[in-house]
Amino acid sequence: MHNASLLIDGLHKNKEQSLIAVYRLYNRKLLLFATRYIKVREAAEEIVADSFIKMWKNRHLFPSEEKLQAFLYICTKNACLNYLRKPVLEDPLESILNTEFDLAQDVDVYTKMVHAELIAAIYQEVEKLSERQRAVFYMSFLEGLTVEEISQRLGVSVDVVYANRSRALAILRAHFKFNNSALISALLYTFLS
Amino acid sequence: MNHLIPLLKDYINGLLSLEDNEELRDLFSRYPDLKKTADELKSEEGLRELLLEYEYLFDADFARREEDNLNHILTHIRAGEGHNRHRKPWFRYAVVASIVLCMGIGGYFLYPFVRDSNGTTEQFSGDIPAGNSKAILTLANGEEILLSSDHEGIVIDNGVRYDGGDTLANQDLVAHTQLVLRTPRGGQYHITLSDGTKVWLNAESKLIYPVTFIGDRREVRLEGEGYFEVAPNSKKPFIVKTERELVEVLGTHFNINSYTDEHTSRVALLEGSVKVAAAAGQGVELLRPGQQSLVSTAGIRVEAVDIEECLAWKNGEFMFNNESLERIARRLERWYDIDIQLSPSIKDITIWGAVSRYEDFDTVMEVIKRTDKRITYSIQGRRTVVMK
Repeated sequence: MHNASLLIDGLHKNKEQSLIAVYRLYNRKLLLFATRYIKVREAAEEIVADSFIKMWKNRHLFPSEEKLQAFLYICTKNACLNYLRKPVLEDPLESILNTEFDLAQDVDVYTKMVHAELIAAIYQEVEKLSERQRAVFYMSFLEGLTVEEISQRLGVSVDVVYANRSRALAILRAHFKFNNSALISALLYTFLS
Repeated sequence: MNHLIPLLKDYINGLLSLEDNEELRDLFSRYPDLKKTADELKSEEGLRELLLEYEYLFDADFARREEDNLNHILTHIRAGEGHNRHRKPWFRYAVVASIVLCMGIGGYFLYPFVRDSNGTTEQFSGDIPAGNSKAILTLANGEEILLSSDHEGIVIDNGVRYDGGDTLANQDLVAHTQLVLRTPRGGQYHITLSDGTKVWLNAESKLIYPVTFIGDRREVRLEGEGYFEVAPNSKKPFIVKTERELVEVLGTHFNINSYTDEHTSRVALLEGSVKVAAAAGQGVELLRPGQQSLVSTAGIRVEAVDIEECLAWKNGEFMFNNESLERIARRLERWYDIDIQLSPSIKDITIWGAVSRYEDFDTVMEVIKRTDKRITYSIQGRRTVVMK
């Protein structure tokens, strides 16, 4: 859990640690967002890194984390459009500092932003699995391997695969708080086929 | 915007329907593409696509690139500010570049399911079913009310009623009294106290609480196991007394496992902070999230704990972390309302893994047999003998 005002306060005091915290908090989300515009991963990573540099240059101007977040997203969007050679007139700083400003007004950007944040949130659940549980989960759910194939691939017994699957299921079930999500049923299914 | 994410997650998970939630309806009508995305994520295929996309973007090499990019940013901003002389030694995070596939785990487990033609999962048939929602509420006059398994919980507010349902006892009957909520073996129940604090009771447990909290503290008593989400109130500390400890909090989430037939009593903290005092006066400890206290005759000590494991019971799982068969047997006894007799040679076998609490007893035993193929068991009525 981060504390929003602490983050802003740290930026105002020029603390690099706060920049790093912002990076950890937003880097993946901004990358997910940027790849909604441009498909080249390396370009998206460069653009997002630039957004953090621009953010740092203006670090004294953000009154709240909400404005900081909006700035990062708008910067990234503009850079993506530039990359696609589409004209951009908007100055992100001017936009967010305007009291009338409401990111939700821009349907396209807002949709992409919520989408990115949602995917990051869903993926966080998967990241709670241990590495081995995740490996088993991926091989079954994403690659469609059978238990025997997974056990061969990992060089462990079928029982160990079952054990890790049981743990992965238990954890995902707990986080998704219900029993019939596509994720869970898919995981069950791949282990029964 | 940040509060929308849990809302959307609930929608995808089928916990929230559009009819019930105006905010979600508004959101979807303003941003129709979000509805499309959310609906896609409800399907297995959509979810798989999303995870594949995520995996492509954040592949095994990503952790390294992420640190490189951060270093690039930091180098850039330091150069821009011209005080390189103050540059601190940059700590490079250890990078796990690929999935570790070769660590040894002492776990052996089966999760036996059969799948019927409808595509739903079904457990093997067995004679001893899992526990369910049931409990007994005792009023101050001694009257006992058997709580229906059609409901999962009760709420105390101007009397007692089912969570989202009928009144069980009106205010006149229960004002200013202590009530007792007791779960039998094979039962669990949920209660919302008058201050908004929520308590989940595991099997064979008891919570004694006042209808209203009068005075400068909120005090309840617990026997057995309970998970608490205490409503914050800094002016009125919340106190849980068990036979072996006194737990004091202001507003926080924690689990207490204090069965008298266990060697150790445990308090595990999820959020906030709690103070645990051993009832026999052997000491006081302040817990941080992710820690648990252990109180036994030897005194009190604190250790790190996997919160996931502590809460597994509430989330409908048995989760075993190299736990002895002896201790697991006691947990099964409480949930399946049976007696288990272990032969001495297998008491110390440890088990790692998980199984749903809603499986019947046979299924759980099949799982345990997986640990050591020589284990056999026989069921006679409500008595089970396990041997090797």
